[in-house]
Amino acid sequence: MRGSGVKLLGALLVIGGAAALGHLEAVRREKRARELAAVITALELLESHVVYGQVLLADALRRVGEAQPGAGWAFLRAAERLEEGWPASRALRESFSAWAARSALLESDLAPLVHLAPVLGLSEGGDQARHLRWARSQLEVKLAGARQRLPEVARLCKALGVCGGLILALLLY
Amino acid sequence: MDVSVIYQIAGLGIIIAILNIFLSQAGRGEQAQMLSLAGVIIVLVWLIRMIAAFFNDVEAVFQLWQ
Repeated sequence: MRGSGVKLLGALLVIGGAAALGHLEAVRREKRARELAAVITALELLESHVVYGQVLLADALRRVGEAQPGAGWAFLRAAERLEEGWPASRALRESFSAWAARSALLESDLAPLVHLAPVLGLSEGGDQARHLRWARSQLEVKLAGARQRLPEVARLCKALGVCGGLILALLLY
Repeated sequence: MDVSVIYQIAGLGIIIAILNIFLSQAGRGEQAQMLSLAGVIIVLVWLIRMIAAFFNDVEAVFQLWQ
């Protein structure tokens, strides 16, 4: 009787753990959609600073980073790197790569941002604005796709978590 | 007679059927098929073990008679 109680508790822990993993994956997918939207807004702000504000790149990045908490970490880090004397393209590339490791975004999501690295601060305003608009359009396409698939993917992740836990509990029983 | 194995096989079948529905609705038909195949393989492995134990028992019975 005691043995079966311990088995039941173990099964519940396995199912709960697997369900939690599925739930975390669903939350990560939702976070990716939010971060994509935040990056798009950040790029709009950056474009307005570059084209109309006529400020230094480090100042523009710092202002964007402070205004956009969702995506601000990468922009603030790039601003710090620029103030330390790093070249603009290297500072931007390193900041976006570092952000990829701590955010829910995929490598392919950050590709348009990495594409901006050799352009920002190094070409004339109109050219930078064109590249920023291009990067924004790429990210908007990804955001639309992510939002469209989000409900079914979240449901699938949660179901996979619970059912995977049930299968594991059955196999281990 | 231990019938828990029947409940295990039935439970596994139901869970895999549910997962199959979710995966098919999410447009992942190939993963659904692979999951069904994995379930069949798992149940076959259980059955093979039980059949092997059955044959061992039959062999033991005939050795007792000899």
